[in-house]
Amino acid sequence: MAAAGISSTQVDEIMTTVVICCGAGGVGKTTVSAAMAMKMACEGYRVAVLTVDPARRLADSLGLEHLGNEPRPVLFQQDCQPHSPSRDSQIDGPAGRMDALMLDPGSTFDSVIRQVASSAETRDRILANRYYKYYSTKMVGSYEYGAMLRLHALLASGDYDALVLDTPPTRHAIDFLTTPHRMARVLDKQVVQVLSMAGSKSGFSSMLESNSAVLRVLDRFLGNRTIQDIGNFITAFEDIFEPLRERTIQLRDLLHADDTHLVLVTTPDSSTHKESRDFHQLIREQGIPFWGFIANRCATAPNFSEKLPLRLFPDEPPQSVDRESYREILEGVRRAPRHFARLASNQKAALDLLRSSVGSQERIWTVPAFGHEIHDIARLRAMSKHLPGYLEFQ
Amino acid sequence: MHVAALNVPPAIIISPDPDRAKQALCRYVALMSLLDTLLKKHVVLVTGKGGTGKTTVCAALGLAAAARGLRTTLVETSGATRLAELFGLPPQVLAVRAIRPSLRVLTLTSEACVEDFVVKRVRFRSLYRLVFRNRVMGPFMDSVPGLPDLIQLGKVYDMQRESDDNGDPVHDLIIVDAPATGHGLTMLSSPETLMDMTLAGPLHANSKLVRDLFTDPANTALLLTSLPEALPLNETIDLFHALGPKQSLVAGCVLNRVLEVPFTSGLAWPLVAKHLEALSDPRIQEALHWTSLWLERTALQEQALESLSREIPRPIAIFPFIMHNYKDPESLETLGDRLDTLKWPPQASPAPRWMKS
Repeated sequence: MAAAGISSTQVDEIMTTVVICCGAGGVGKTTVSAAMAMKMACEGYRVAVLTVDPARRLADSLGLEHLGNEPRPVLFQQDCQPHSPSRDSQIDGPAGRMDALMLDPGSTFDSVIRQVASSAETRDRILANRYYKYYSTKMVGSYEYGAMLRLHALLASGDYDALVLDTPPTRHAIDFLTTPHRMARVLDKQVVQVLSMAGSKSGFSSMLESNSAVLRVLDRFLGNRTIQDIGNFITAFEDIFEPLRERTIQLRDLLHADDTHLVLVTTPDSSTHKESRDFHQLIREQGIPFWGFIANRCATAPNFSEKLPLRLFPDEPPQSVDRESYREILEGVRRAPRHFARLASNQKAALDLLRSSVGSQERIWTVPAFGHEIHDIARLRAMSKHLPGYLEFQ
Repeated sequence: MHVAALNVPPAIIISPDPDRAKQALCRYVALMSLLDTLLKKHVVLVTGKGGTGKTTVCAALGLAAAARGLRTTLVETSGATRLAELFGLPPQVLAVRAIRPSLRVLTLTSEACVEDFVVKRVRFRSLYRLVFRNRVMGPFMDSVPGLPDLIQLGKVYDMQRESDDNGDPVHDLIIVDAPATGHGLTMLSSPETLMDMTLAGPLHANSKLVRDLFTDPANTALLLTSLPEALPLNETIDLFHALGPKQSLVAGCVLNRVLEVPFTSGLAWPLVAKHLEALSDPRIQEALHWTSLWLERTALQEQALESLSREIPRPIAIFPFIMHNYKDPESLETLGDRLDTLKWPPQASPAPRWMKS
């Protein structure tokens, strides 16, 4: 491949830990990813966190208004050890740092085209193509594809010890894993050939002659104008299909690399259980290295769970509180431990169920629930202390 | 006056402050009108961030509609079978199956819908397979931007036009468990994407038909689901803004998993807390700790609800947080109970006392 690509062997030589955080929507995946990156940075490593989510959630979590397609440093007070001793002996470089970036699928794809196009003319022809903008932003798996290409570029830069990748919700997360496979199918040589033949007028009519029944059906469904338009688009793309396809295969390899770790973020309630199980099964089927589950927002159990007897409390309400209000508040206070105890025991049962269905060999890392939202740096730092660090992934 | 004393389900009382609780009651009244609005449409698309309870809301709405005698069909897209499973049915694609009197469920996949569409017009299944399911066209069809989404919307379009032998519509109300926020928006704009891409031809014409139906507020409603937490809520608000002219489709929001408050006499709480903190019993001290945590969480919820109602000027339905698992067959009845608790559809409940005075 002539275009500026990275060969698989080069990628193998770069010792960067890649952590891919998958999970259903609403489990706090973005927060967990960011907090985990922060933990590694505080341990003295150079980390970047990437989000592929179209919604601007990571930006919310980090309290940043704009995240870009290029890594940006996340500034925070490091209240932690700057280096782990083992790293000190190996690297004299700067202390750990955390960068964040949010993928803009449009511009990511543009940069891919710029990289793989064989000439300026080809590049301009593609970037100017009317269909291109649809393909680059709306094509199935374009976020995932873009994310992986970006990941590849960051790996090649050698600037990082670890990359933490946030992903869209589970339905998409599965896409994320199957994207290389599907892209390779779409970029199949035969598909390209047939469609580029349809792109030329003579090609289209000769196709009609050779298999008129087939084309008539297609014509009825799409219309021959559309078939030709798409064919034209494919023709314009033809000379970058091969490099793109090669990269797709490299990315598939990346997913299966030894330094890649898949994490499934979940919550300890049963609503996410089935998705977790299905996802786990898919990971196993595909043979992707799986690190384990991170169960987010685990409730802490109170020391007792029974409703407190009324006799423990004074009969008389405090001054200027009426008896009825007092009784109602006491009722709430007496019930509060039981409320949280039930929450904790439901969660424990759900986690036990998960453990028994995925097998006890799988790691389930629990993270406590915080009474508040985690959307600023200080809270993210507090949460990061409960997450696995760099060494946990080695 | 205590809100708890009113004949209103406690689950919707979201604030220990009586004045704020009153506002919540206003929203409860809004919920009644929300249901009425939804049942007047032909298609309701339920969308929201993943994990906000789209499926639960679809089931709840479906049960409510069927209870009122509307022939209701729940539609799951992209091969999802959670609704079918919720009602104890094994996964099956493109088969309308009864789950209650007047309530049916259907799972769509884009492949099955393309086949359905083409076979209806070409009439030869073998020819369809030859053209569409070979290794050239299959992946290609999947990769055309918006096509899988459009095809599924197209199926809903066809369903709406189906009629029985008497000429009555087969589906009075179609409730679509739509994809999550980002993709949901992509799906809704898929007809426009395809129209824009194709310019002319049969696909363009079909896209336009589908577009017209799904952008007509008289026909179609969007119901947004969210959770009372900042991130899912911001996504809902972002979605609403991103809808642009399609905002008129939004009939309302469902705020799901809302915790009930420990008590409603919130104004007296600081005094009582101080009174109890003076006691030496460690159990009381721990109980006070958990009460504070409970109040902290409900306060966050209130903020969430306020920002939602400020940003999205639509009725908001509040679904309580319940510590049950709805995913097993037995709990189905609990789901029904929950609707009953919410009085959705509302039974003849007396007007809240504070409204009369």
